[in-house]
Amino acid sequence: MGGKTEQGALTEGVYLILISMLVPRHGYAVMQNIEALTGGRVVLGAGTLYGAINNLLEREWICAVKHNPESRKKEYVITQIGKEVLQSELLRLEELVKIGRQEGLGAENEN
Amino acid sequence: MLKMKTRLWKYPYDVEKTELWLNELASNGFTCVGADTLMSRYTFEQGEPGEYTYRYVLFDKCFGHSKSIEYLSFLKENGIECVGHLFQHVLLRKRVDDGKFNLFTDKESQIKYYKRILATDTILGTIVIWLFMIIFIYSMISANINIANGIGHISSHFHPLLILAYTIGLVNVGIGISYIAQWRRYALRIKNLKCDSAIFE
Repeated sequence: MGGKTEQGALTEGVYLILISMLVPRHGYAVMQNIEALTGGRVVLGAGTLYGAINNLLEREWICAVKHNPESRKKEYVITQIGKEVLQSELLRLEELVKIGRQEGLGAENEN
Repeated sequence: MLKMKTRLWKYPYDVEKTELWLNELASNGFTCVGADTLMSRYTFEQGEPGEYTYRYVLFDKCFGHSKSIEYLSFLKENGIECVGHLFQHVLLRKRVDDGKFNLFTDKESQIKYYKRILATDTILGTIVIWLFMIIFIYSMISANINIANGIGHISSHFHPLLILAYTIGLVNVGIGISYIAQWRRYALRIKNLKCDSAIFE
């Protein structure tokens, strides 16, 4: 299978693309969703998104949804492998946050 | 509706400068609506100032290639349209109202893109121009000898053909140097991005 089992940290872009594809979305909708989720902090360029989508398709973390005759835009959705990757990334991020909090960092300590 | 068509010629030796020039004109209300097949003559229409942002990009494959067509239709879905093209060079535009127009927003894809420019455009440009120059220097020297041998008088150095060869040679040196400068510029950008990517995503 194209899925990669051993993995390092996902890039912020890939993490957010996978989250956006928990429901079927086309490229532009993914971009808009990411912008909305992050309050405009993360805006993916079309070239970067296109490269990431092709990369994720190759790894079988996402797949193209059967063509919707109403829209000419291609839609993509996360696969089971993609969901597993996302899940382990979430655990990794939680661990990092936990470590930070343990060491005294956190919102309540900000002045 | 007031429509004015103007054509302007620009030597496309530096895509980033051309891009800057197009955006400057667009911010003054001259929107570029087309480029000729050599991407050197641009057609403008009078529109709203600051209606479009232009990007001059290098595709991975030639314009007619199936992958480029697929990429272009993806870009179109994202509100990006094609204004002109030459082989892998594509001039794109996006409405300013639709947000910032940056194709590559992470370091990895930026590095990949600059490497593509280095590998295709800049190196090829440098080789071609310097090759031309060598040919001109060679023909200049041989013409010099021929003229000196054949005519043998003092003014032979100012023979019109020689002056032409000198001029073309000099222009080539200038363009060659500008290509090398571009090469350095992209190489430096890749180096800096790689340095940054060791710390930041």
